Amino acid sequence: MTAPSISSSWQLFGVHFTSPSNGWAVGREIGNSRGVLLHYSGKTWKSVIPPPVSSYWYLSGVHFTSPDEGWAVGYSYDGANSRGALLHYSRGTWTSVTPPSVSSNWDLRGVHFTSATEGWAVGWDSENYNGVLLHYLGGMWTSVTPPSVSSSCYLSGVHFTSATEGWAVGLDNANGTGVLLHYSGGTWTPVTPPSISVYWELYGVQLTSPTEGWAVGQDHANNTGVLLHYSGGTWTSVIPPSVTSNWYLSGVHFTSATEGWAVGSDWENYSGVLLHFSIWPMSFSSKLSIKGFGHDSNVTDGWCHIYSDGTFVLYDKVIDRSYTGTYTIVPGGKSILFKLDANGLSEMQAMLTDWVTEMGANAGITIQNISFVFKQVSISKGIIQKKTNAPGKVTIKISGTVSALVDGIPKVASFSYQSTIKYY
Amino acid sequence: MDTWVRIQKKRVGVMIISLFLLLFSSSFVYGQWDSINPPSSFSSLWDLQGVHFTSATEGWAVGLDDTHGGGALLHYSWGTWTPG
Repeated sequence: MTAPSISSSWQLFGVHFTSPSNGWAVGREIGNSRGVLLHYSGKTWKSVIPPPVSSYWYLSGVHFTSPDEGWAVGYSYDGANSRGALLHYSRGTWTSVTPPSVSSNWDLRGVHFTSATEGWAVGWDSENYNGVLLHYLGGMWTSVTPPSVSSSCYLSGVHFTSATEGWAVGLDNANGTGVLLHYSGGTWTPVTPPSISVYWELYGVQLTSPTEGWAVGQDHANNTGVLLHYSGGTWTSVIPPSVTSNWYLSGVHFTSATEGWAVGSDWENYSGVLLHFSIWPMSFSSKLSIKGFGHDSNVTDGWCHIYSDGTFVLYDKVIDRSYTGTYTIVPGGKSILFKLDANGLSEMQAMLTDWVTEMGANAGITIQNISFVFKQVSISKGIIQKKTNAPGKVTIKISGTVSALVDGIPKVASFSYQSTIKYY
Repeated sequence: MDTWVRIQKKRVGVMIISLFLLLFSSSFVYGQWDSINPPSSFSSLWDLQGVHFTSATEGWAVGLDDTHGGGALLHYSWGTWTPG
């Protein structure tokens, strides 16, 4: 699948799906000074020509409450003033909606709806150095004055778990910190953020429940991403994993309290950043023995995730391989049984082939045409830990024969592989 | 036992329970964030701005693919990210 052809220079800022086969992405078409609307309908992305808005405009955020109903927000400049752009999608048609009056220089960066009739959009009022809060209710947008945070405060992201409960995040430029605004029962209230550094801000926020969520952003002082975790009424800073010397996070999305992703940019390598949150981080301690040839040990790490449909993915992040299979939780829920599927076994064979090739190279031997025959594959049951719901230890044992050309001579030998995977 | 001593012991007990709840209930994160390698040979100049998942096994990330002068679309399905 390839990205649709739009113009010579365009980019995307936001994406939202109502199902795996229906979604929208929005952004900016630089050459034509207008917003980008992409629609995914199951197999391909198609560009949708947007309605006229102004001489220069683009879209930053998008949110749909159903396949027939959604909103996109952004920036619009008419040659004299800048203001937020509001596009409404209803039953197949995008329409530009005139926003309420805020100032002569403002824009919108995030949008979230809790139903087709109620939602919020947030942004920057650059004339008054203040955040923008727009509330949509009963078919009308109104501007709501944000609570006082500082003399220079802006909003970039918003997320609601219900019509009466939500959060907006951004930048307190006067104090060099992120901004956290809590909406509860009809009132926006500033919440003191945790201490991160002398200059940092937040771009995105998402809650999986009124008491559980994440916010992401940028630590400008240390050139790293920012991860804030909200749990039980408190926002806490979480040390991000090591990425590079200069990176940040701009978006976050969780499908449950235990499974989520954050994305951003790595300015050292000019590439994207993908961070995965999972409750089962694992260490892999593996050993491969080949009779008559030798043995080698390997310690790596990765993660395991089980899915509600009875499948699992075991990912070794150091060698970048995924092993898939199925699992069953034994009656009583005390242990879990894993079984590799055909793809999982195929990946195991590929991993072992790479390993044998490397062992040969280390020994100064050329090994080619490597072929494994698995005679016995067993994965011992892991005892489920009460605190984490993860198995404390999983042991994979594989034995069989391996045939190969060793320095051009055909050889067959028995082998055994064992990997002990521990939760930490 | 003296009433005052009983009250003080009760107060100390409440303080210990409060400290335990503060340390272990509100801010502890069981899980871990891991940096995932993006698809190889996707682009030499790109970034990501937005992400959305419909389930733990299905999602999209979008941004800029400056090598090809357009938007970046990455699709996640069952453990693997591929250019979309």
